[in-house]
Amino acid sequence: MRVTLAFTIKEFLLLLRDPGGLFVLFMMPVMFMVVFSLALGGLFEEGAARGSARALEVPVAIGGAGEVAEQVVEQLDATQGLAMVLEHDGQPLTADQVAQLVADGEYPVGVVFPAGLTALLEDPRILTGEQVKPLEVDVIVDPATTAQVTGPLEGALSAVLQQVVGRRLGEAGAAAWFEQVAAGLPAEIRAQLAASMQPDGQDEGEGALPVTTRRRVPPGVEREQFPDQFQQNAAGYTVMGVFFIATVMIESIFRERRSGAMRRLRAAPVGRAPIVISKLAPFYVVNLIQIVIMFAIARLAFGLDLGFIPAVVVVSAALALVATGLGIALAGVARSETQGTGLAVIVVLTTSALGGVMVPRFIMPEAMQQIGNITPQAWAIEAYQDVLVRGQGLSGIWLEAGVLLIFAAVFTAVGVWRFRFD
Amino acid sequence: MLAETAPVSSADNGTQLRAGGVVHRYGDLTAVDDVTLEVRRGEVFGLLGPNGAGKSTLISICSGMFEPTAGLVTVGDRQLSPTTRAAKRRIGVVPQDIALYEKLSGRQNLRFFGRVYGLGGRRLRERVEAVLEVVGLSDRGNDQAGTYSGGMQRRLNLAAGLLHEPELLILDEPTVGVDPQSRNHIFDNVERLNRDQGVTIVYTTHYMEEAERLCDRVAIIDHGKIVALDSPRALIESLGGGVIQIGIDPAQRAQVTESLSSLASVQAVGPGPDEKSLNIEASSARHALVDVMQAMNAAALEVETVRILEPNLESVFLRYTGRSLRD
Ligand SMILES: Nc1ncnc2c1ncn2[C@@H]1O[C@H](COP(=O)(O)OP(=O)(O)OP(=O)(O)O)[C@@H](O)[C@H]1O
Ligand SMILES: [Mg+2]
Repeated sequence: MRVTLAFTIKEFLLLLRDPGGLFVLFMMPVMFMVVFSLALGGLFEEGAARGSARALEVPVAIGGAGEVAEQVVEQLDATQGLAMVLEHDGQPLTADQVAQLVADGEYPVGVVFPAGLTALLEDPRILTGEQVKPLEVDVIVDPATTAQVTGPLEGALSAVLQQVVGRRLGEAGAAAWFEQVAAGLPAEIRAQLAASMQPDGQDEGEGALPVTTRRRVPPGVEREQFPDQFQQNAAGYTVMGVFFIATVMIESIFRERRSGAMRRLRAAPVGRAPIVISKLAPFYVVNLIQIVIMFAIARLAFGLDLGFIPAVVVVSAALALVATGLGIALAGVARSETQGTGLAVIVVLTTSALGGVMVPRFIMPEAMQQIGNITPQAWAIEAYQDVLVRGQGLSGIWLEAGVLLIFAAVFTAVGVWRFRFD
Repeated sequence: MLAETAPVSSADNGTQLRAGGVVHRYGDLTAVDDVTLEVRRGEVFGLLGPNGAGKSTLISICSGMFEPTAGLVTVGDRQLSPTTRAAKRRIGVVPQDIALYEKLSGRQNLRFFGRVYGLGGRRLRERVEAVLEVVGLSDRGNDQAGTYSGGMQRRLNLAAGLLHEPELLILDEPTVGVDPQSRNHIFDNVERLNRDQGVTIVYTTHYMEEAERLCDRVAIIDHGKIVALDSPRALIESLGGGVIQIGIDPAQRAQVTESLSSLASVQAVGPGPDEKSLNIEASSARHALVDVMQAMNAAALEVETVRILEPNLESVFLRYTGRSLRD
């Protein structure tokens, strides 16, 4: 115990002798978070809207909504960047299934049409201009996605609904309404939709359409909160930043080997355990400080709501174990300091990208998403978003935390096994 | 006086350190080649050998840094291995390379190594101050070790090995590359530790004067083997009045041996360190030299090199290895 303490004190003293290195470690993820949120937020939005990455797949439940809903879906499907999913295992999707798929994170957004939609439009009261209770098309949104992802779908849905419903109702007042709802859409999509509109019918009062859209989160997901770019990036870059501890650990371990002090330690009456633990413990604490700094900045400067703090603490504790484990594993595998730090940078950047730090995973191709699952980053980000965005408590993160602990155990075991004194 | 004749009794309590049949190989290279030796309690034991002789390898094994390829080391009555803490706690080690954290201050270094050796609290503080005092670094204790001069680093390196008051202190060339002032300091420290506190010392060096002045017994090691082991005095006396080492044509070896053996001024003619050389023992090497050269000339035998080995350790070393210690 005393020996472990001795090593830990020594390691801290050494770390404090290099405040520049620590500063870089603390500032790097903060800079990433800020810069990517501010600078690339717009790009990301446009890219998603244009569908440049991949069509956004949207599960749809038509149920008893009838022919009108089918027409809307057909037009949405024809819209660039959107692909409607109507069936699951060969069966038409139900409203519950759509909600479940979104809740499970399979899709970021889904659509549920209300029963009786077609019938309503054929109601004679509507044709005579009487007031009826409007029906609502539900847009089911995963709170963990960004408005940039769901925006195009919502805009297109409103526009197409307007078009189809308006056509049924004689187009009266539709054009003005279209202008209104489509205003937020990227120019290309608006032009495309406008071109498909029938160019007849002018003003006939306000477009009091009997169908509206309503945004909902899936049942069971507690908070209706939509992450902005900062919330997305706070989790992502915290996770990535934590892993860069590996480079600092590798430098420290190789420097110690070079210093010759390791030789004296080998002659000393100490086992491997305290030495290895001393190479983990201080960096573990550094990681925790790093996480506190990231979330403090996200909270104070950008108003991030941290949700249930104990759950954030549990995820962070597990995440830091994985990061220090990776550090000691890479130090054990590397043959030189340069090789080790280079390897660490490559591994951290690659797995971070795969794990959804830079780009949310749901817009990646299926195969990439599968590969992403073998990165600890994916699990850590998922866990943070469960808490920060979906408002879940400990019960929501135990699986992810468990998986992180397995990563930590495997990495640490490799590191201890491969640990060399010189 | 050769290794084979060194006493290899079973471990009694007069034996502090015993190496039995120790072999160590780095790949194909045999750095330590079947070494057996005993270090007696309370003595200063010198290990003398040229660069690459295997000194550091041998004493690293004797301080439990790594396992030998073959053989056994015991400290007192306990077997030593990298995992035996009780045996290791008896040993203080001063490695050849500076084994310190340059970024930490002298005191921080000592506190760390002290804790590693199980010290704590007041005793740790006292010991840190005591060893700083011993090596004369009390006033520089709070400076970073990396800012010390080479000699001061060596002294701190020594201090770190003394913290836990070991009964056996193993020093690997503690004075190499050190200014005369630090060197004397270290030297005095070692003498005093041995004399006043009865610490057994294993001292590796390639400085003859150190070995002669300090060591009760000296082992000469070359190519991983112990080629001679005795007190410096006995080793020197074995040279008698001195030795003339001549380089010859190996083909004429028998002839040379025969014609020189008959000379009155020559006491004995024996093999040199290699087949191209002979050691000629004489009561006075300088006087015998003239006779030797005349005899060789008369018999038309070729003399390639001539060396006179004065009666000192350097000569003992040359006699057994054919090499100078400081090459
Ligand atoms: N880690 C190692 N790997 C491979 N060979 C080594 C290693 N350490 C030492 N050697 C070799 O083993 C031999 C003995 O080395 P060692 O360091 O024990 O000699 P030494 O007597 O201490 O020399 P010096 O006076 O230069 O310190 C040398 O030939 C050296 O090159
Ligand atoms: Mg050496």
